[in-house]
Amino acid sequence: MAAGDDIFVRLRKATDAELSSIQNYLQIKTTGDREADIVQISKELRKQVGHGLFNLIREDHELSYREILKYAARFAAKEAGWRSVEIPDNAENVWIEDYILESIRHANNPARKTMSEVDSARNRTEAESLLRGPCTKAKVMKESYIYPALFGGGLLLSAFVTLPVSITVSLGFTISWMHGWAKSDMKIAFPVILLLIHIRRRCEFEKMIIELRN
Amino acid sequence: MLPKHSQILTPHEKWFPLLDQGLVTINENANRLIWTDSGRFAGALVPGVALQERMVQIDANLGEFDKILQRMGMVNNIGALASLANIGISIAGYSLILNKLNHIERKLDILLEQVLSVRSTLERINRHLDVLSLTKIQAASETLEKALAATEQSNQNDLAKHARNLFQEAKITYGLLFHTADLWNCVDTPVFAALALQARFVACAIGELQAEFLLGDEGSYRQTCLLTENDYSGRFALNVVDALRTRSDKAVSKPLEEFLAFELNAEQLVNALILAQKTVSWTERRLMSFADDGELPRLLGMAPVDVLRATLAAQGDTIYLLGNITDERR
Repeated sequence: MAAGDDIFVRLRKATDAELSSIQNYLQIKTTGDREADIVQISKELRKQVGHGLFNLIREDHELSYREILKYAARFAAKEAGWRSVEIPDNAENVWIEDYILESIRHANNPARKTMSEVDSARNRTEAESLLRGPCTKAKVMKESYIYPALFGGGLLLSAFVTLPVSITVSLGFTISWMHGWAKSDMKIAFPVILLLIHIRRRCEFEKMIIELRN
Repeated sequence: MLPKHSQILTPHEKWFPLLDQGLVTINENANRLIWTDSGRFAGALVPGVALQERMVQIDANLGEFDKILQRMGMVNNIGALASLANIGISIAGYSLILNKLNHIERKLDILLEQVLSVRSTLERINRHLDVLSLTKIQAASETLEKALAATEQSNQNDLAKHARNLFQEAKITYGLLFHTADLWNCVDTPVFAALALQARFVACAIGELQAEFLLGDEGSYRQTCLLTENDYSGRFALNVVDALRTRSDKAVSKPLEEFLAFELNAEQLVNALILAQKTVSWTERRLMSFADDGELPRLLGMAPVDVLRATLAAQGDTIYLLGNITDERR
């Protein structure tokens, strides 16, 4: 269990109202035990974001917060009408969170529909600049490419070894993908991710105010 | 963000030897020199060289406030003028704050109409929105001016009492509304609207104090000062962390669109709350110092009306109460 990751850290800093709101978005009921609620939220959030079939072979709390943020960043870029964003490997989680907020700011700008392409591109560049940092690690294959790869691999395998079985497996993957069982449900998860970002920012603001007061 | 008084008002140079000897000290909160041993009034502070610079900077400061307001996407200038009005209360007196409030009147009234929590609170305390209108304060202000101009003592007293009652009623309404609606913590109320509302409370409080001062009863004046001070501290105290957390908790419970609007403007909210907190604590200190003015008629051997007339007649060279008169007396 990724008990020490950002999701757990944030949830433990959440107010009752924040926790309750997250539970509402995830459509889960409180157990009455705060720590048990946090574990349940973590499990449900990772389940919603992770691809359904991969969730079967993944532990409940295995999907990292960073991976979740990457999905959220792509979702936010799409909402903003931008092409999918490349997240540098060395981008810190808070940078990705800032990018998500900027994308959503652009997506919710009432003037967006009448905004020129140049202005939209400028906003995109500014948002992407929040992800600045040199790439140092080798790129990891994205989950979204794994299904077609599995399908292709399945076909090759079937051609040489067990054709009927491989076709069945490959078709299973394809059908599940087409039906959305294997896609992350960002409509449910995205507000929760925004709330996790909100908790971090609220805590930072509070700390800053206390420091100013002292 | 707010100016330090030592930057704009200084002792007259003839006080310097006594200051060096420690016989007199500066009471910044009351804008005056006091005798070190007794703490009693010694002389007024006079505008320093820095004051001219500060006056020039006011436009620039308004520009800074404007940037914040524009970023907040709120009604222009309300916060800036309200903040400036509070500065004006203590530096240049009551007429300045009324002028400043005049500018924000219509915008604030429109804004208040839109704030549902204000409307429902008014209904709860059996009041209508029109009681909050600035016209009430203006009527009280005019009555006070008439009292100052009156030549008959009895007429002057009647007018001063009437002005005091008008100011007092408006002050109580503003204080009660602010407190009951819990405006610092109300997520629907822009911070600068809450700040403007407290500025009206302060304007009424100052008006009431001036009317009370005019009536010449030092005990009653001091009691009004004490009550006003307690009222202000009790109703307008602002804990920024608590206000932020309460607003945040309310925002996260709202539909996603409203929560997003809150989240995307969180920095501006924090800035506004910090500014409001500074304004409130500064105003609180200033109100506390008003009690010191009660002894002036006795110390100067002047009627209260003459003290007030001299204050209002001061044209820039005497920013705070009785600069010239105390110099002559000395």
